[in-house]
Amino acid sequence: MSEDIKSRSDDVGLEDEAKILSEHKWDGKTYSYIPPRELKIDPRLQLHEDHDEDLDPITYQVLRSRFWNINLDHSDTVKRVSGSPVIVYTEDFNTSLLTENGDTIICGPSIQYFTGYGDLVVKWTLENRSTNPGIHEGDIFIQNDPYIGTAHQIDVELYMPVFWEGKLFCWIFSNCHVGDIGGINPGSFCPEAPDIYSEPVPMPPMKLVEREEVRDDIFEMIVRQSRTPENLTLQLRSQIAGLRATRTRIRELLEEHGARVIKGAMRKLISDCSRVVRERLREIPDGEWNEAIYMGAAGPEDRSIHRLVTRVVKKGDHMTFYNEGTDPQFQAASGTYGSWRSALICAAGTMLAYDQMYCPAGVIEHMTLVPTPGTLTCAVHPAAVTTLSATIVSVYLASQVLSKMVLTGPEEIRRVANATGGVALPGWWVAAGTNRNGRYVADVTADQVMGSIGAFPYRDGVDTGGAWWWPRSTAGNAEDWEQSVPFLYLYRREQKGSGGAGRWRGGNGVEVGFVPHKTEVLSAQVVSVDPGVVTTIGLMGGLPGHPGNFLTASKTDIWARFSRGEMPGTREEVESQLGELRRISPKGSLELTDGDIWVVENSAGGGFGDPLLREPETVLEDIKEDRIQASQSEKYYGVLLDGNGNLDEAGTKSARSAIRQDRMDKCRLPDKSPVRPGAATANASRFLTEGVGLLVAEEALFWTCAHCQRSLGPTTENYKDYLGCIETNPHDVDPVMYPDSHDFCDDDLVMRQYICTDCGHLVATDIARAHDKPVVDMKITSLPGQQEETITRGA
Amino acid sequence: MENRRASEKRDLAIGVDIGGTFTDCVVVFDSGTIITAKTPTTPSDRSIGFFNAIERAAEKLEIPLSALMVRCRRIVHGTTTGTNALVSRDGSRVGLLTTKGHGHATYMMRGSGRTAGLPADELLDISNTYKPTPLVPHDRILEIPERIDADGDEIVRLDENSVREAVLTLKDAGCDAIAISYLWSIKNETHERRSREIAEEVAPELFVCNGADLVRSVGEYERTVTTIMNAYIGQVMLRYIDAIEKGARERGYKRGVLFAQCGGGAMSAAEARKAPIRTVQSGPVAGIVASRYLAEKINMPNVLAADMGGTTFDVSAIRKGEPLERSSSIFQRLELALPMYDVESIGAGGGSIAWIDSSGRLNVGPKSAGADPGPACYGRGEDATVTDADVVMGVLDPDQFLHGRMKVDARRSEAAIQRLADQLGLGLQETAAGIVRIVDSKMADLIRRMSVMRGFDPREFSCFAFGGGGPVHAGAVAREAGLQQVVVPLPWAAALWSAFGAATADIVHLYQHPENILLPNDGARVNEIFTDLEKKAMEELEKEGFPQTDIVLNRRVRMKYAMQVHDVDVNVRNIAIGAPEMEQIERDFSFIYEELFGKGAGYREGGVEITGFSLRAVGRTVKPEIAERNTQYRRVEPGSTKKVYWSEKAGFVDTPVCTIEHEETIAPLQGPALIQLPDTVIVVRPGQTAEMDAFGNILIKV
Repeated sequence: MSEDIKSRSDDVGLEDEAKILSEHKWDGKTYSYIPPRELKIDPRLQLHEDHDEDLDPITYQVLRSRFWNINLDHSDTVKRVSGSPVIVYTEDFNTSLLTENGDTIICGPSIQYFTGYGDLVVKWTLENRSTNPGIHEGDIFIQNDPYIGTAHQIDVELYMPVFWEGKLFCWIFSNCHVGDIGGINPGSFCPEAPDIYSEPVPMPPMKLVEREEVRDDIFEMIVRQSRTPENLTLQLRSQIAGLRATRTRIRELLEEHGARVIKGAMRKLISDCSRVVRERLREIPDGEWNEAIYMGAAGPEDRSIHRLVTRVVKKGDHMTFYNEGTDPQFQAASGTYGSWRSALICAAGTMLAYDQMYCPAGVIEHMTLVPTPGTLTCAVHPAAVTTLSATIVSVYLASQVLSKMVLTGPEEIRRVANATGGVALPGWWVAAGTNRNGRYVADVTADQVMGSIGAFPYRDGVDTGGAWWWPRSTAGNAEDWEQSVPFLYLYRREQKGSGGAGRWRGGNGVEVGFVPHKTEVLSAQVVSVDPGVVTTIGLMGGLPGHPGNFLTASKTDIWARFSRGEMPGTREEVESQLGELRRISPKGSLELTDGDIWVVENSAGGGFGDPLLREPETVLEDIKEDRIQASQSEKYYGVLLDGNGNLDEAGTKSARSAIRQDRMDKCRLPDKSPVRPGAATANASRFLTEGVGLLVAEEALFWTCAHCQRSLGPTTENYKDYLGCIETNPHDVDPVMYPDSHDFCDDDLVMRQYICTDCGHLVATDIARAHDKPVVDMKITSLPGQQEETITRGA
Repeated sequence: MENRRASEKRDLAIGVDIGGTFTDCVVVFDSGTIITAKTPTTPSDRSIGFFNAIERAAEKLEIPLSALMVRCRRIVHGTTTGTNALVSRDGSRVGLLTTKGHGHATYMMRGSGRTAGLPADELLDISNTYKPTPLVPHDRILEIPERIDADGDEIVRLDENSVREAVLTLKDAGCDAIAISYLWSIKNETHERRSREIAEEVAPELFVCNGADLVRSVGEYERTVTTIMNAYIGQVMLRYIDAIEKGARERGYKRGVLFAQCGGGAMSAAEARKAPIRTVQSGPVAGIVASRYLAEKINMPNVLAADMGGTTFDVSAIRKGEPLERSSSIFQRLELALPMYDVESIGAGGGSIAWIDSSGRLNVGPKSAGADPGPACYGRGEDATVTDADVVMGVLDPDQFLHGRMKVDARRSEAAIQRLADQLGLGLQETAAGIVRIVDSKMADLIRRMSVMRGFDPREFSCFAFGGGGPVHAGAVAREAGLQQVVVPLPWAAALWSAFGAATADIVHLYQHPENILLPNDGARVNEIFTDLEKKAMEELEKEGFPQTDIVLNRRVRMKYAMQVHDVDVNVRNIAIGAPEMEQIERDFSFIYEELFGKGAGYREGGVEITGFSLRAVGRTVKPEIAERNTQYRRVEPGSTKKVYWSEKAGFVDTPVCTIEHEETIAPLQGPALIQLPDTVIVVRPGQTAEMDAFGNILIKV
């Protein structure tokens, strides 16, 4: 208990939160739902709260494993009954167990950015449905209102209260991508929707099943919205089956162990997780960390670039998050508060509680959120949300900002930092046509699910490694897709050199080329933001990964070449044999016919640290293993090879110093000149891997260049103010790696590389709108264990 | 190979199964008599251990080895030689020829390679997740211009010169095996076949294999991995099979040695030379073969076969007499497309290590101390394991490890567990009981989870418990998983169950044909496909010496609802197929689908389709007569008591111990009790009863 009080006293966001809460009505109608500290529940609904405080440790371990397995069984039941490829193969769903008052104690290993919705939805239901129509044994609620808690209306939530001894004991919850559920576009992603009224109908919580009886009226009303009603029926049935099977298992547990023990174990799961998160947070200095990611061409006619921001302020064992500085909500690219929050919970859970069996409630205890409404990440009704663009950027932002935070911690904490990786950005495309069986098919191809993992502080990212927040999805085989969609792959490969350069390299993404095959027309509909506006940023100077691209060539002689036995098997061969490819608008739609080529490149992972620090032997291995282009070796890494393909050590050394010198020559000099810190306290210098160092001097904390130890100002200031800056259009840095944002956006986009003016070391690489101020990566106010007074005295 | 008419004097079959630590040999006489022998595995040359085990069996029978060999109908071998080469990564240097544009398939791993085969609770620790290293690196993957489409139509002809150059390049790069795997070769094999001919012509000394010869299902990633693995162990297996065949001949065995395969049953040495990859997992699968055989004899249609060894707990299910199968599986974190009996595993075994996590919680496994260093009581390691906990509680007798041939030190077990107890603030026995309870509960969780995804109710199943640890833990696991009955099958063979399975295996050939047919359909094409497959099967089995009367053909179609992913196998009768039969097939499909996936779970409106055809051709072998035993066997009574800690009683209880060596009978026992066997102990927990049935199996009522 005392620990909890301590956590709240560290909550520097309390006042900000109170202010934001008092300014608007956060009830899930105009403004998204934010649960109050004390839920207002009808007293007639009795909650089963008794629990064992002093659980026998063996029983607890047995129950912990049981909860985990019961929840996996829940997932399996949904998969089994549904049989939908999107549920079974890509695992676009999650299941969870919640306490009587709506705290999520355990989630499944499927899609992770769903893990922060269940508690919002159950708490809203407790507050708004406990009186009318009441919450009873045998009820199942359905809801897909993004302003209460889901990513978009296509992700439908079904959940069920479990009663014991006449009292509400716990909740079982599932959230599934159900396919078409209405709206102006087939599949229910509605990029052209001006507002939510053109999207699928959002349903606030209502009873789909009432006291064990499925309500046909409600069921039919929902299914009536869909272009594929039988499929939706099956999806909903799979969720009902999953909830009911899980309730049986929970009841068996209650029979076997008694309610006090089970509830005791549930509470202990939360407190255990919370304790681990607390211990980890306390090893990180107090301070704040920021990140900004941009989105271009967010609507059908849009040619602007939009900014999305997340900031975390951490004190002791508590984190407060802000989205202030995020641009206003915009058409169908917007996301709700719930999605911004769920993204943060998903990233914080992954980084701080990766070994706690997916227990969000233990993480949330250490988080306060202060949203600014009317923005892309906290849209106000009736903003449209189905494209998920801002939601996915929220996930990237959460991971980036928390990565920067953990980077200031000790090694075991720091290792989980992870630069952005690709999957769902820039977006996806739908292939549609009549296949050779005469069946019309329209499918989101899953090539992009090959994904990529960004670089870490101590290792490279993972080439085509999937998504960190979507652990068990699969992209399927080329043969699977050719069997169902009328196209033929020219190639499907890891895109060499697409991962961001760095001391540690970002994972490569996937590239595919197709021709329409055995169909008259293959239509290609792109649902995306502009990849030219790079979202795949790195950490601590690491360069962004390739952000993706959609390209085409028309009326080529590919079929004549096929009959001559020629086949282009790479993008280079396509371009050299068939002519140059041209970029397609992120909102484009194409009708491909014989001889047309369609190329999709998906995003790759961001790099970590200055590429000049990469071991030359590792670069050599990258070339040998076909992971990078030979030309990238010199360009990014300053690694030269001799005539036999061996390392030219002397040449590499001088190439690297030449690049450093060149950086120093080219950069704009900093506004501020370095303050010379006093003598360093013995053994107090802290090295933040490859980027900046932290120097504890007699009187204060200073940033230093990790390479030459030059001071970069006090840690309460932005080190970028003390660094030189090279500002360029990313497309000019590397025209293949970074497509030109000017193709589809009018705003200027820049890459800013921050350089130590003493040694030429690359400290930070940002992507920004030209007129935006530099992001303050990090500020540190005190080190762990250091009394605040010490710092104050010093400063 | 197997010919009844010529086998009057032959009255026994030999099964040999080689594990990491021991090589097991089971000799089964037609009469039903079983002789077993366990000898140490000889890792440097496993064929030595193979013959040692057979020799040891002959000694036990007190007949010369040559006499045993002359009387032998067949030797069936479950080998791990190929598996070991894959695990220790010391197989061939393989080169891959694949379709141009698709040379990265085995690197991309369909985007799921980073997490494939990882336990779900380790997935979130992202910075500790890696893809496995591919068996063939980029510079030995050569892309060949050629292209077939999904209908089997040639889009781009095979560039034979490229093939020739590629083979030479790979040969120069030191490759001793070549895997050839092209897109859609399963629909049109001409390019793969021609490439193979070229390779064999250019470099006859290399081991060459084709994807479509090994795998007949859609999915280039899994098919290519399977082809590569086959090539990887090709040379090793050729040498091994030669050594076994030569050794057998020298010892007077005149017939071909057979090899257990992952799809159930056995295959000839010639098959094993072509498709050595099919020996992978053949050990556990042979255990299922044995279970199925016994289950049929004792009329138990629904069985969960639970095998607990040193490192893993493996469960498989037999439902309505048929083992469940799977079409792909993850091996060493790589995905293989081979039809095999379905075995689920978790890291829970006698060697599983007990440890305390960052939150101070007691955990057991998945890390195992294995056989070396082994449990603390073996005297080499310090970690407390499940076996140590069993020793501390008095369940395992330190003097009875391996017939008392292995000495273990109970004090080391106590010390190891006491260290954990001190950290947890619990007593020694409490901690030991806690370790066992946690591992038992994990195993029960696996049984329950397995049943949910496969759509059956575990309460309708009996549990067959075998392997070293199965009989020790099954009573508790079954109780927790809600099973009614545990069967320790033929106790004197239970610890060598896979070898017993090998000895009783039939010869099995699997033929598959991928082709999509939408229903309704008049059946003409279906007839044609099965007729072709059957012709091939009959030729092959007759060549192997089986008369028509001993050949059984099982036709199956794989079916699914077109818009859903779950496919199920539907048996098809061996008659001419017309429209009415096709309708029956569709009705059978809906029935099975609902049974497995729930009422109304099929999306009928999206259509029904057949996605593939298979024929399981079985050459029936002569089996031992497991008959009801007469009553002349010696009846054993509990001989002594020992102090055993029972968590149900929260303390030590004087527990009767009944020791059986071979073919004795026992009177019904009331738990708590222990039945000491030569290689393991059957634990009858308080409240449970045990009795021996007429066949000699021990049945425990849970």
